[in-house]
Amino acid sequence: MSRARPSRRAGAATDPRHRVARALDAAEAAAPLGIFTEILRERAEARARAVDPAAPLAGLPFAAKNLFDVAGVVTLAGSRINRDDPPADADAALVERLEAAGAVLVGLTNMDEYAYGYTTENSHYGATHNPWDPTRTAGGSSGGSAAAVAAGIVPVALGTDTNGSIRVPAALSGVFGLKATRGRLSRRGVFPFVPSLDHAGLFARSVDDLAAAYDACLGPDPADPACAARPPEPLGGAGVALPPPDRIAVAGGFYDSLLTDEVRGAVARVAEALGAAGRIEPPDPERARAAGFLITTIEAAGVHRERLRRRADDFDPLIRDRLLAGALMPAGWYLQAQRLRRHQAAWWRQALARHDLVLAPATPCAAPPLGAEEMIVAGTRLPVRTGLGLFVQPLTIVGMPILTVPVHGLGPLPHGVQLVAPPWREDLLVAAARRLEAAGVATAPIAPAPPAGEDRP
Amino acid sequence: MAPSRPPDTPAPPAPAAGGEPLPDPWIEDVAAVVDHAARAAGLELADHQRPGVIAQYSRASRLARLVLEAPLPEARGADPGTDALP
Repeated sequence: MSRARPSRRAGAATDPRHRVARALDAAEAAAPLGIFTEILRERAEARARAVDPAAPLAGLPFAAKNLFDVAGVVTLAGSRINRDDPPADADAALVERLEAAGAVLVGLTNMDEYAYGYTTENSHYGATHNPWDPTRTAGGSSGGSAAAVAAGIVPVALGTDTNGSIRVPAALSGVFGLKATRGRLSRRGVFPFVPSLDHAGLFARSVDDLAAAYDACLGPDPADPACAARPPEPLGGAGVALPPPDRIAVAGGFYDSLLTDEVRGAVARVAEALGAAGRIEPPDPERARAAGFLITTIEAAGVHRERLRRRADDFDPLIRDRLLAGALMPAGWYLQAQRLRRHQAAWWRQALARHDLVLAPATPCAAPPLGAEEMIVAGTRLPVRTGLGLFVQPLTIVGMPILTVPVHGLGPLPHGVQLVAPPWREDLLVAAARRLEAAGVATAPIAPAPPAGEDRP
Repeated sequence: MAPSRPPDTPAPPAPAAGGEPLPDPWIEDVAAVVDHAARAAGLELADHQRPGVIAQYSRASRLARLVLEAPLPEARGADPGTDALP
């Protein structure tokens, strides 16, 4: 099967050196937005000079969440503690694979400490500002990667999603965000947060770029125990046919309760454009969220056990307290949460045997202001730090592939809609996203806030 | 507008992450549980850490109740399938 190709706007720079130089300049100029924690100018310029012009992603600049290892660079993972770690001795698998396909890494992006958050308000490295409104959050925990794409600095960025950390910032920053099927993309060289929930994924401003970068990332990896031993299944350029209307459903009930009219409008627009004729009501979403919360807290505490013993006060205090509490919780809570997770996954497998796509809102509202503790949605007061995960967290635990598509034009800020597909059917997600992009329903224009490294339309 | 709560009426449960009410607290003395568990885990909680940890544990315990009371089919084994998804 032919590989997908990244888009090239007419007149856009195609010389890798020029394209990478523009991205590096834009990344430096964007310092006030708090997007990057490390700009890799020397490395990127050297790689740009060596790019094979025939490579599928030749000269495509990209960014990666500062959770992905880069040889010779300390992987910060948003923490102060990790500053004292030695530099990584090898690139993470997805960095390595994107660069093998001709893409060039220009920098590492800001995130919530150890990926534990939805707002990228990092107490050590500052907040990432939303390029659509710098007074607002870009979402988290992969907020820097989403903002780098939204601001036009890079067309593609790597992120991770454990409880929604790709889908929330994609929605709030107005870009495409893909969390692939659990086990699809290698996490080798990615600093862990919650090993049984961590997924790697991608942000992009166009479906072509997303598909091309995704194809480059594919392949089994014995070094990641969760990575499936499946051969690559590239999306290719042509794609699959969109499912018929009765095979596309909108999630109701919980997923149609606590959300703004604008978010509800975004779901309706996407549903109409795809001709969605079905409706499903996933069971026990509150319990699914609770299970995700417990698994997260307890496993993450295990990951950080030694840091908690030795350097507890070098964590952000809120994250420290969550992790310390997680270290004290009974195993019975964790085991029951994992059983509930398996039960939920079985329900979703059956639902996705009847429907090829399910639509759900990504967040309850548009980006809240930075520093806000609470937000009012549909007359209900929600804590920002956890409320942004309302619709993403119950879906994460089941491991299905999910693509957040950006919807602009319903108010001044972008919104996002989740598309959920059966396991290993990322091709269906991309087919739907292509349809939505072609219809002008899901687009990711460059945010008006300067600067931008890509050619503006 | 929501009706105001008469004086002396207990406050409703604090909202959970999504605004849905949390189950009532079901552990009588969370602070004692936290202190005991910390000793068992070999962790020392500093005085300035303890209130935050107790608050986090308290909230988690109420979410745990949601999970523990979930009507799941009888499990034949203890393997929750941690790495067997999807």
